[in-house]
Amino acid sequence: MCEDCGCEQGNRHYFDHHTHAHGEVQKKILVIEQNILQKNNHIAGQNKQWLAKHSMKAVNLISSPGSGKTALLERTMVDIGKELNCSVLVGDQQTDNDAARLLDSGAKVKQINTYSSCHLDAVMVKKELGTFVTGDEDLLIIENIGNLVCPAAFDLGEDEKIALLSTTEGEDKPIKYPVLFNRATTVVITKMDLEPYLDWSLDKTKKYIRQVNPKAKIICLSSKTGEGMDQWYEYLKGL
Amino acid sequence: MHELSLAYSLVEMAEDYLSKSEGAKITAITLSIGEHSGVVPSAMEFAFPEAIKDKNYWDGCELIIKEIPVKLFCSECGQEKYPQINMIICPSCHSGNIEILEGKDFFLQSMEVE
Repeated sequence: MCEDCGCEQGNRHYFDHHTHAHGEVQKKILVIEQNILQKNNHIAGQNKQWLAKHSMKAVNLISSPGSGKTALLERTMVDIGKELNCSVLVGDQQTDNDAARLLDSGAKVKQINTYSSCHLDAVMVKKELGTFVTGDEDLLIIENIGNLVCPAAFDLGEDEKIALLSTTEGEDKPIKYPVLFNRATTVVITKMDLEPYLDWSLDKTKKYIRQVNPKAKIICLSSKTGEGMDQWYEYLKGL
Repeated sequence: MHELSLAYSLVEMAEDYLSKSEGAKITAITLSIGEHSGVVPSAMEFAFPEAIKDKNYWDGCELIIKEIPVKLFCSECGQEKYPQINMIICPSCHSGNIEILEGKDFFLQSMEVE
């Protein structure tokens, strides 16, 4: 009897295949054990190599819509765009509104519209390396699509995955979306200028971040008032 | 709903193996989905029929999903533990000095072809 399925028809094993006849039809179990994200991860690895060869670093900014990714980058480009040579890729399903905002702040920016897709993947970034991203920059900043779930699964070849969390979103996003907040190397808490007006606790937020990611760097800032921006700039320059 | 694009990647990968095995049809496919993979099993169950719709080789294919819980190693306790998904620290000593051993991946485990 076949020890895999109990079939009486036969028991013939070779390589990693399990083959036996079921009546007239021959069935075979193929043991694959392969990561379905393997192709994306492989291309992400190529992106990483390309960036390293050009002495560039890359960051992947992920957050919910409206947490202040574009506002943070606008201020960043105005303040340090001249000393830190950056290219910015901005992902959205539709419109080039974010790219237009960043262009106004002096950034070298390209919009990627994904239409129906809810995340950027490594292929989309690869297409820009050697074309829009020339390799002369210090840093590639990727502003992912506003979404706390899907972008977390796709590596792009970045050095750092940065999760943004705004004070208006409440404290418990990290434990509601643990995959992203666990994979993030850095968590940036934005809109700190609103803290006095909100029933929101920094200590509680940090506790929840630590609960899913004990080692993450945490930076608190306000793109509006400039509070904490120095720490953000030091972080980017030190990558 | 990135599960749909993952389902398309899965179909592409499986068809590649099917042609290598010289099979004619995939009758069952087994996936292992880590609790911390960022892939939702119910969303994959929803996306999979869409990804194989009107495709050769897939008619009547059974989808089998094995959910893999997060397993971590705590360096303080020196033991393997199974934490809750939203507590990626040691459930015993609450140390953050841990390494995730299982539950992060999304794998095509095996497939039955004929």
